[in-house]
Amino acid sequence: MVTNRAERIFLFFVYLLLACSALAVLFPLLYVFSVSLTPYAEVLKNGGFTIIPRNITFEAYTAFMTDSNIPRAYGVTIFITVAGTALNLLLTTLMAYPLSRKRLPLRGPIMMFLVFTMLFNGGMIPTYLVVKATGLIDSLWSMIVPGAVHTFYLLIMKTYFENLPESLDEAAKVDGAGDLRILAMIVIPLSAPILATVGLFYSVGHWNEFLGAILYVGDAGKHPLQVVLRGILNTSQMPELDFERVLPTESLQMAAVILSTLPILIVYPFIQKYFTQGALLGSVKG
Amino acid sequence: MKRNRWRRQAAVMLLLFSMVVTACSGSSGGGGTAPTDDAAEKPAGSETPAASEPAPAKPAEPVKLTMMRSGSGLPAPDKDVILQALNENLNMELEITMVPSEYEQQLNVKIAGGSPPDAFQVNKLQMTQYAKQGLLLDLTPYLKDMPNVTPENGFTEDHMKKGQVDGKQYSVPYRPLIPVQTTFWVRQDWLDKLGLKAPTTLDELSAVAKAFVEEDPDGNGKKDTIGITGNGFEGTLGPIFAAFGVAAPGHYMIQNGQVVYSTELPATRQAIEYIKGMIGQGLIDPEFLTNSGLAHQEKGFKGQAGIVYAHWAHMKRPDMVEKMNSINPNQSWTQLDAMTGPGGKFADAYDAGNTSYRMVIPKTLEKEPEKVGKLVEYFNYISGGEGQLLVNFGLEGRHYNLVDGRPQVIEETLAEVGHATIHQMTGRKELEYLNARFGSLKPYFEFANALPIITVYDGFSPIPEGVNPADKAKFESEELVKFIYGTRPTDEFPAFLQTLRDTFQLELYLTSASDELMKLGILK
Repeated sequence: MVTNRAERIFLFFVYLLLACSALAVLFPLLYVFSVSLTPYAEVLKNGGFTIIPRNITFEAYTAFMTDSNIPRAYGVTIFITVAGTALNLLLTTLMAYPLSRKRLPLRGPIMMFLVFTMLFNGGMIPTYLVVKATGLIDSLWSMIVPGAVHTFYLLIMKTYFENLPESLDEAAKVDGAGDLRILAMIVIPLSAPILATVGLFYSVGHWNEFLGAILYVGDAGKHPLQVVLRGILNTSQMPELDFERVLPTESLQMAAVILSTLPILIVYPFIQKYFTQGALLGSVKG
Repeated sequence: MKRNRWRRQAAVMLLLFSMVVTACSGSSGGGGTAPTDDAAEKPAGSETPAASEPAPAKPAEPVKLTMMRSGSGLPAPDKDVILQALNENLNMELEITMVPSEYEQQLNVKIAGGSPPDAFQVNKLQMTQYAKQGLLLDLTPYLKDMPNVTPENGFTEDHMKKGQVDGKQYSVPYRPLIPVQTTFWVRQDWLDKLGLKAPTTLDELSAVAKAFVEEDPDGNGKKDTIGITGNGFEGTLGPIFAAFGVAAPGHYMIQNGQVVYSTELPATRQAIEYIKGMIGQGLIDPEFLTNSGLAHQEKGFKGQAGIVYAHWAHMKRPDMVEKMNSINPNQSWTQLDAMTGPGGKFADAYDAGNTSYRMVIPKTLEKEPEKVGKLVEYFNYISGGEGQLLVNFGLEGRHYNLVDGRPQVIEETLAEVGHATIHQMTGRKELEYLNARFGSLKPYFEFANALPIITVYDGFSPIPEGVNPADKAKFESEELVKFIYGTRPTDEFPAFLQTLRDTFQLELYLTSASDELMKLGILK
């Protein structure tokens, strides 16, 4: 690809710049990771700054893992992330596809109806009352069903579907396919990038579920990871009574950061390929 | 044909759905939670040898109660020995929910949703609002059923007022702690090295801080030491204001039979000028406003700061001493007395109207007298006698022994009851408790208990109608920071006070504080 020397030098600098910015991003992560593995007294000895841990201890992690609530909280979080994202994608796709087709009757009013919810919402207490009336209080589904379709992501998906060539639809129709078959066999396979993107948005949202859990789930056994971690890391609201408590150290806080971000971080590389793949490679010969 | 295909599609969709649903039931099984919510309600007796005494005609069914509080650190019910004992002794099934954050919002939705917990924690403002809206149960008629709630047990008449609105008792408030527990601590080995004496006056304190900043007390050849550090604005500067004879800005004091606002007192402006001078000379930790948790203590232990304004337990609790020694064992800290300043000798301000908790019962529970009766019994039980011992120390013989009638903590099992403070919903008799729990630290807390204090009355001062106290507090603290850092000249202090009166209606606050203190008989 690269032909002459000037271009090579130019590329070298481009890569250098990119490497520097990548390092700038990695540095804080490395710091968090190091502190979580270093004995806290050691961190304090170094003036509170450690980049390469000299002595490694897994104390902070074992402290979390021996807390009986943590493994269960992981279970809850993984469940609401997996089941929640599956439901999100299913419902969002089933809604976005018809809305992307011009022959849908009442398309305009339905869109208005949806966009309205982006600008106005009922607020916390009315939403709570709806969740309560539907009998979702204290169930895992209270963190999944409300907000199962996010209007903004629905619009992104709808726009993507609109950009798929109509001729694909027509070709399938000629072959005698119905709407659902077209969606399942043609549209969805071509929509991997958008499904991956929106799925990732949804799943990160579920992974970080906090306020919904706080409001709708009183049973501590059903609290997701973020709520339980917050409970462990929280310094109490009554500083005057704090003198008896063992306060979480910075190592513990950093370990919590790692524990709560690592799993979702690991998912990224697997979805990466869908982001870069051309959306419509070879579908229609132009 | 077409219809058939459609059916197949529908079947696929249904399959997807059912997968999702099965995933749910799978997870609740795999997540280790029993599908029933009664995992916690195993009778505690199943672990202890069965008591042989036949139960006298008690209702067989334990009373189910729910309680909600803010905070964290409560172990799971199966590990909570204190809760198990409480439930067993009182024949109830108390379920405590601890809310780690957004407590107020959660309480609001629960109350608005018509399903408040059977007992919940409120602050002064919430208690007043809810009581005025008729949402709380008046406990006044039940006080006669609480023989432990007596002045001898620390529930003095003045103290009980902290749980009252318009003369009605809505809550049994948490009993007071030692008024001021924070003091200046100074690095003794640095003092010795520089040949200085422990400071006793404000000017000596400044001189020592200056020496610590400039004379390289740690001998590393670098000018990298801080003079004074503490925890936030009041947690650092409170004692300096006190040396001028005033509480830190934003508090209600009583002077010459009048309610006054500490920000407006002439001494406050002098104190601000003095602090501005200290900051100008670099004597105070530049990060003092944002220090939180144990940051101030760590700066001390790390050898960055030579004077720390800290709680005695944070400097001297055995695990803290261990932490200090693991960083550098060649350091020693001396607890300092209150500094003498232009306004006399005072340690810090103490809010006589404040209490750590107020537990209240919703009015809707009136329909279930059995529950109300049980809650009253519970509040009484934990306020004295055996119940008090249980919530303070745990189980006799396992977590403490009575020696000559005095509880002695058993160190080996202390970790099992590290959460005991959570169960002390009405507090404890502070000095007795500290002596049993922190006997070896007696010199430090007794010293703190004897400190001369400035009394403020914020806890008794109601918020007047139609003002927003948060806005006022925000404006006030922002401006004060500007004054002490010199970004706003102190000549403008009168203008700042005028803004408090004009824009933020300070007069209203003072009038309502004054009326309330008259009503309570504190102001005569």
